Amino acid sequence: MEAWSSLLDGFSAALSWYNLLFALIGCIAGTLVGVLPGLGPTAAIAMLLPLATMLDPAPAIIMMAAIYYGAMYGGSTTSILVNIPGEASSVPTALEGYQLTLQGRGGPALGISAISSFVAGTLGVVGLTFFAPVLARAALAFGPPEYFALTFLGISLVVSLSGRSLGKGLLSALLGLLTAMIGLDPLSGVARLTFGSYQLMAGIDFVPIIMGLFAISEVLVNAEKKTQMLLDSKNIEWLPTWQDIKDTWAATIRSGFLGFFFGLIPGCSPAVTSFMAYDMEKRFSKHPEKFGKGAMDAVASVEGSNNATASGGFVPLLAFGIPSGPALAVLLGGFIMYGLQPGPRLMQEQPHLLWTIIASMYIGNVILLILNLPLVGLWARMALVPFPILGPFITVFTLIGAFSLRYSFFDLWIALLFGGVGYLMRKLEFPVAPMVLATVLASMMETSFMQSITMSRGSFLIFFTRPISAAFMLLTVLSVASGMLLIRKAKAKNIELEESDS
Amino acid sequence: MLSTRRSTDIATGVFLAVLGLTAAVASTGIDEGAGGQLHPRTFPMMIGGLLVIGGATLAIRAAVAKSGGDKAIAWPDRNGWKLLLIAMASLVFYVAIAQTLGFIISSLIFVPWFIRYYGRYSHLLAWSCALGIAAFIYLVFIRLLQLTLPIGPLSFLG
Repeated sequence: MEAWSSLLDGFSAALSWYNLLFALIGCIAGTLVGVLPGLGPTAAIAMLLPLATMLDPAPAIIMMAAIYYGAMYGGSTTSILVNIPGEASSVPTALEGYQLTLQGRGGPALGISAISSFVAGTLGVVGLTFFAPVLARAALAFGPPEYFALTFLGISLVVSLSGRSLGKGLLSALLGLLTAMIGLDPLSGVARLTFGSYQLMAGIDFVPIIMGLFAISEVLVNAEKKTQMLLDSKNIEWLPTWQDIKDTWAATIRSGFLGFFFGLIPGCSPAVTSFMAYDMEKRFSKHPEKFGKGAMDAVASVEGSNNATASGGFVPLLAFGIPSGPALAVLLGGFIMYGLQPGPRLMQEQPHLLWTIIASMYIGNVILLILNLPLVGLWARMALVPFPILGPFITVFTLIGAFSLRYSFFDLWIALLFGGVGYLMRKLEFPVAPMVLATVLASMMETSFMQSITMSRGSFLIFFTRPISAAFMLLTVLSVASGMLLIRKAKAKNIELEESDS
Repeated sequence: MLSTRRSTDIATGVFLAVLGLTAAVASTGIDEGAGGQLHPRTFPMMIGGLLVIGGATLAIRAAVAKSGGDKAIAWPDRNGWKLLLIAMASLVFYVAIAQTLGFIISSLIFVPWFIRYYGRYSHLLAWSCALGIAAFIYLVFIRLLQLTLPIGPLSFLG
């Protein structure tokens, strides 16, 4: 009851025209950075921090929070339409959404993405509203062994992402892990596999890798064929049908729960939960054979989960002042700028501010739905642009996005290199998604493993003696076993499981 | 040669095994650092080793598999190779000149060329698109998002 009255109090402040204006600005900025490949909410929040100093705390933090979850809406647009994930969390969306675009269903995919993001994102905010203190305590039980077990579970998703080529999927994942090893060791700072190169010492970020594997390779594939139009069919649908919504509502709800609960764990980014949601949906779907060929429920699940994760990430931030990822770390900086320290004290001393921010997240989700849904038809028309014109646009924006990460041309060369690698992987039928997943998870996996072994003084049993860690390890075994069964069943029934990448 | 899945799997498997071996050998040169339960070379060496095993397995399985029913790889034809290599070269050229001339000017060179070469569209359309991209880079990336992009001789615009 207390939460209800506090929330209503928060709404009364969040609905002021001033706070609404900054929620709108944040939503637009977030969507824009989400759409532009390579540019993430972290950079956008950091760029707007100086502007925030001119504002009161509430509108400033409302704006920055809106950028964060707004970026999750925007990331799906280029993923679906031109196979360029705007964020790492949109990679699974690209796998399915782009196939839907090629079938003339890009518009419905965008629409379902927006609706799912809204529903699951709102579910996440409801969780934040009513369950934050209780769940935050549970999230704090996560230590290095639990993180390693979680990433190990994540790596097991390779089985599901490999389609029919499990062996090639595993090799792809190993390549991703090896790439992530290049640079400085996360614990000791020792240079590894750098071959004396200063640029390699900074490591290879996964964003240029994703840009190369998806965007640049897409340009190369279409250039080779001298593609004129991406879409052959003139039978294009612009908006989702009621049937689409009916087919995907269950996936949306499931993804909301999965995304929110995993988002509670500090360090568990939307990129991780999006792959998990993809895998979960493949197991629950009535039509798993559609995965890899354009499964609308996969789009709903992935996009719902990353928005719910964004909401879940606010739980440890607001309850304990622990940011879940880089973007929330910058947001934490925003709080500190005002002399506010998120955590139990802030909840007691400034409850009105906190509840205003939480209320604004409900409003922000509505704003984003209103912003994105009507634009679906407009965005979907992008797929009708002839490739010789679209190709250079994709190239320029992708490479600028890759450059903006670290302001290094080295990242552009990496993007081009992996563009070539991505092209070859497509020809040789190596799935791309496992490589991306492994690259995203590698650092957390290795760091948590090393820390766990240090904690246990060399004993591997630590992963099995702690309850949460043991549960994740068991889940991993079950996940791999059921994944293998699924593949065997599919082969036996002669259902064609295409590789999950395009 | 390398026209079927079997032959490419053998070649790829060998390549990956060699890559893994290279990584494992290179890992032996990694310093110990501050010391800890596990040496920093542990993971790279392990992954290198797994790549050797995985690559070798792929190559051997492909080699012993029956050749009947083997699938052809959809490599491009002669013209396709030419288009592909030209596309790759143009991307390399774009990045190379962007370091000196900046993104705006290099886009003004790359974009109209690509549109004309791959689409045979008119100069008017090609240059309109190029100017649109250049304007977008300046107005959105540089002015609105405040990204410090190299702009070469156009530094007066910054």
